[in-house]
Amino acid sequence: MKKLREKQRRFQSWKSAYAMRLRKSSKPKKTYRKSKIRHSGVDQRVLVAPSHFIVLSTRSLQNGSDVNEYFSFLSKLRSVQSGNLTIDMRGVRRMIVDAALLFKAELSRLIELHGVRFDAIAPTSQRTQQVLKQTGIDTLLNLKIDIEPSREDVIHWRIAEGPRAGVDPTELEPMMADIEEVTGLATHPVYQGIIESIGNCAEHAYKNHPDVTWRMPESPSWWVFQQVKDGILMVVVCDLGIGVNRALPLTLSNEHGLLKKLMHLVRRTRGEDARALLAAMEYGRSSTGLHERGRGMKNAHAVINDHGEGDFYAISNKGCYTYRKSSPSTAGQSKTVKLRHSVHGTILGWRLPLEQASAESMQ
Amino acid sequence: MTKVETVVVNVAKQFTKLPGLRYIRLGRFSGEEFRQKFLLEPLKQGKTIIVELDGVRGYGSSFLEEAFGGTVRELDLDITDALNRIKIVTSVESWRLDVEEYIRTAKSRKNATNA
Repeated sequence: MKKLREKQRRFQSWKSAYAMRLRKSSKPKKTYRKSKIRHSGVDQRVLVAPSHFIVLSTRSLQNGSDVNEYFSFLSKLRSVQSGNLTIDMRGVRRMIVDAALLFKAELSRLIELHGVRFDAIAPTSQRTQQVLKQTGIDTLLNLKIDIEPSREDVIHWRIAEGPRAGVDPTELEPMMADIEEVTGLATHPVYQGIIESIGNCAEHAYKNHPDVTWRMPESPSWWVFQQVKDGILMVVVCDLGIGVNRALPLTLSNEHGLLKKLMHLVRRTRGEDARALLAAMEYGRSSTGLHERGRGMKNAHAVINDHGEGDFYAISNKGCYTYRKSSPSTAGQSKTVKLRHSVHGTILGWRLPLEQASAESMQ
Repeated sequence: MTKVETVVVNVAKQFTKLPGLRYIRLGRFSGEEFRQKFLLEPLKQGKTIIVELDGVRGYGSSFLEEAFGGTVRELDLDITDALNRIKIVTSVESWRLDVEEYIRTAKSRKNATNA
């Protein structure tokens, strides 16, 4: 009897495994909509946009298929040198702030430097349509969107952009007014982060470098997106410059000893871009006689400390530096990662909970 | 004993609520512009300046360094004299400390540059 039960158990187990195999083989493989430039008719190229615009996934960084598809799309977009291009946005369902910003920056660059004329097939998602309209991407794509942004998760996006020379800080007033509305604070540490980042774009990000033979954007050459949603402030600043890895040696061109010392400090970090980012952070912290220079990165990082808690990240080409402080009383934790895909520029982002500031302002 | 004349400068009211970058060539409301408009002349005349920093959206460090450190460099002021004659009034302690640091280290930059 016992033997029979054992036989039955083994049969059941085999049966369920067999059923599983059958199910697997009959299930169609998940196919991803690959972005490709399609030629249709008379010189009309169509590039299909991915469903998700995402630079970095919280869980898998850049290993997820969504991120790969986005960068594959971006790479094809960057390769366009002239003429007309239609972007098929029908399938776009989600646009994360930094990825949307990078997309906007690349569109601006292609229009300014190569005279590319964009057209687009409108997204089917109403939310995406509203995001495009709110961020001004619809104008770059020559896309006519009739609906006015009304969704709570869209209407709080604010944008600012400007040229390398002739930066006008008053461009940032709508963003700061939004923060004041939520927090009641006229002065906020994030202003320092934004203005320093823009200063970095103006002074360092577009320096002449022997490796860089391509043309770089003049106006706009920096872009800022801000979103205040559910008590969280997200600010992202982007440039399409030479990256920290190339800019840092130029900034420290008169201080070879210091550069060498910094690079020695970060020698165990993987990836040259990640090493350069970490070196830039260390430079900000280092006590040199030249306090006034190179502190942009430190200040970008210090926004979190001044605020008390939040996240900061810096992506420069293939390097990524993250800093997290979970409460005012705990020390911040930083991490450096080598990424799979290059952003071809620098992105600095802050994520700050606003409730705390709000409570303080009530006191 | 002659009384030293004092000039009060309120950044937010007299200059801007949105201070900009380091140099005039980089854009509006720069540290260099602030220095030229409000700091150099009174200090040249031997006056003391009280600078009220509050009321703005924030400051980039390059703005503060160029305004105050730049003043020390341009007028070749003695550090103690500069710290005595440039008074910072603000509720944000880190701004005051930063400005004082920029005044103290302004000379070392000049020395390093001259070296």
